[in-house]
Amino acid sequence: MLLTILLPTALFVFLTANLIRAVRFLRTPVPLRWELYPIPKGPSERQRYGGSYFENSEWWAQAERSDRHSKLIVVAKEVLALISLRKNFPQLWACSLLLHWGLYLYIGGLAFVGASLAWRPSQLYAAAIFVFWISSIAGLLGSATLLLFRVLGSRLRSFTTRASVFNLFLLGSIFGSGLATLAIVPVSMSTIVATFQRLSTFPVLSAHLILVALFLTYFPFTHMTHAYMKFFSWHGVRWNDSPAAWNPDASAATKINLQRPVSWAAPHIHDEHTRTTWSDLVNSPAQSDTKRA
Amino acid sequence: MLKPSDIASETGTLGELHSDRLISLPPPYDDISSLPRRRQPAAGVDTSLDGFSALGLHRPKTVEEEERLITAFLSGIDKLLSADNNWAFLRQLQLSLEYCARCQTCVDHCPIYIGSGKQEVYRPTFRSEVFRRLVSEHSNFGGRILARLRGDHIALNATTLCRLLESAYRCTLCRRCTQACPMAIDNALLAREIRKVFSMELGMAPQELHENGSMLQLRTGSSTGMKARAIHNNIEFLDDEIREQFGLNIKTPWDREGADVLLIHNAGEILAWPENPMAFAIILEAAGISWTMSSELAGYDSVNYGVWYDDAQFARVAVRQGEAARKLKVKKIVIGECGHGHKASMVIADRILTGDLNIPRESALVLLRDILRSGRLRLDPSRNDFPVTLHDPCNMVRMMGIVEPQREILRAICPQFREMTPHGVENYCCGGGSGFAIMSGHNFEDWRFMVAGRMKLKQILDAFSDCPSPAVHKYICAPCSNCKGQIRDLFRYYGVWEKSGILYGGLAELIANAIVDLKQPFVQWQFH
Repeated sequence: MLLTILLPTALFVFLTANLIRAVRFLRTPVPLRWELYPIPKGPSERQRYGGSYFENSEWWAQAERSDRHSKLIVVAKEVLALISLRKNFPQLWACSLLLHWGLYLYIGGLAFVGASLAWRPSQLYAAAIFVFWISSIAGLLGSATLLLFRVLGSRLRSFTTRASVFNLFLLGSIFGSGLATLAIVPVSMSTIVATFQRLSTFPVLSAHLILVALFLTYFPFTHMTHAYMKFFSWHGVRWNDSPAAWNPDASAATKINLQRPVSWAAPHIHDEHTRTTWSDLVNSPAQSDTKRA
Repeated sequence: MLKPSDIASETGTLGELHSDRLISLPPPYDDISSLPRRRQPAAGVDTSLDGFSALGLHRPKTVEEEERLITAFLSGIDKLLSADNNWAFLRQLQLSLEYCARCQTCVDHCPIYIGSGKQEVYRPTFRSEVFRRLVSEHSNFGGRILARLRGDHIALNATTLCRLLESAYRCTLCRRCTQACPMAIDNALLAREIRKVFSMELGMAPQELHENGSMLQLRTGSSTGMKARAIHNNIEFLDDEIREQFGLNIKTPWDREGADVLLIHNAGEILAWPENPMAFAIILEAAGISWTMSSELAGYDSVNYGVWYDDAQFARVAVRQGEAARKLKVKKIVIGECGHGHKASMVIADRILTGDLNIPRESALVLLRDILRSGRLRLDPSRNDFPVTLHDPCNMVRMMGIVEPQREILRAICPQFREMTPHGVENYCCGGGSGFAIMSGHNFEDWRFMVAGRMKLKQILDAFSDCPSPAVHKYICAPCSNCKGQIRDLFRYYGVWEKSGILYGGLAELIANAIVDLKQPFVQWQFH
């Protein structure tokens, strides 16, 4: 019975907390621009060297469309092949790739299970079991080797936190218990149902499912949410080169932001009698300052 | 191995610089023992980070002073995380604080870390991780308990804060590390946010950037201190020089309403490298461009030091520059050879300059490229027949994607142009970025030359490895005032002109040098 409550609750926490995190982030004010090149822009000559529309004569006269297709290709390469890591830290790349593919395949295995429940051909279920085998082996190898890198590698050791070790240990435990389940338990829908009814029926499978529930509950409160927040750091910041000339919404948002109150306390900013908003501050002369270092 | 929590350690220097570990340079620069240490900081100045001081900080003398410092810092952190006080960068900040995987992929991309021989105190993630842990511990609900549980606790004391602030001035904000990050986590942004907390809440920033920089600019119109009358006189003198040296009768136009182009130089050029504004005047007049300069407050100086340390100062200067252009009803502003002036005006201020303040802004490199393409100049590339390489100012290239116009020019007018490695958006910072080029107080200069600029010097020397003799005159083109300032100082420190015959200068100078109508070559092979 425990699993009947635990897993749906964990799933609910997972979905709700991640949603809250993403919405909270999106509700932060529209920021100023802070892009970084290269920005994917199709198969143009400019893309080869990382150029931008600023290279055009009177660039403001002709709006350049955002190239979602090229950005999607880069994101796909990043997600599926971890290209940044491969290029910049190749020693870590294989380990991380194994872990990531372990996770992707685990989700893929669940999709096969779902499909087999819906359509019931036995091949789908067999495919799910096969994918779980590959996922567990890759994930276990990935988390174990990453753990070794974290704990022993000179480049990472002094910056490894207990949380990083715990995360890898948790993931390794999930994949390890998954592997043990596949090896020991004759996995079928009936064994899963039996485990949900009584934990002691198949202790290894029970342990695996409890660990999965723990992970789902824990995940939204960790930096592992980079899995989707990366979208905002790449698309929203690094690749966001949309100028005010072509993006009146951003200018309108900034006008509102300039009406926000400001309370920084340094003498060149703070003047409690005359200035209350950023707009007032920007248009005011700077006060002379005596607190400088 | 240095751990982030070590920053609070009260004993000695956190990471004393070991000169013998610095990245090696080719002969005759390979004798590290000859590197001079020229200055000692004044007594009482805190050098506990690495033996150097950028800000001349003094430790609090009493427990009460230390508590006030800590309280103000925590108040600043609260404001940094608030939408009202930090709407401009809150999103970027949250992403970089919360989603770093601590994979250290970025570290080998930092020219300072690599140039230092990978000395741990310069690891670009060090200050980021310290800041991240402090914010998490002191701003999040249950942060203190979680920090202890996670082993992330860092003692918050005066030592931590002095070292953290100094450390924020060991990053040139070049953002090369961010290019390498799989999550697009931005160590440079975090360094800038640390600088902001201290400047905007505690009133602590390098004197060169604040009192002698943005404050001076807001008072007088220029960070050089030149008022409108002084700059008129200086430019008039340069017009006379053009007439005497090159036989051209040019009168720089001032405050010409309705001109096509408002040219805003980094005013430092006029004092330190007058040949650059002279070259611009010659080129624009020869090309028949309708242009003007402005006498308005901040309208004759493209610098905006706030971009490096303080949002309020940044926005004030940006708006005044926009107002100067609006008054003249010009069609566009062209930013001269000033990297941070480009980024400040064209990128970061873009959304602040609302309504009719948002006058189109263009890079001088693009205008120069267009002039060259138009064929309006009579040029002879053989006048530039000497080895030339190109430095890519981070603000123009990595942060704006202006990569090719300057190369198109150099390929057209410099027969011996060669790239340095790496180049373009992956080039290394000059080591003078984020204000370092104008920061020389205490003993910071020594660090700037020994560590920050070392990778750039190696790149330049490598680019000319086929002609190392000082008898062969060579030219490093750096189309940015701050980069030129850093390269000038770096070359003086290492004796590069004497040992290798490499001169530094801008892009416009090379174009002017190729103009056939000048009665003598524009580039003078004299180091200054």
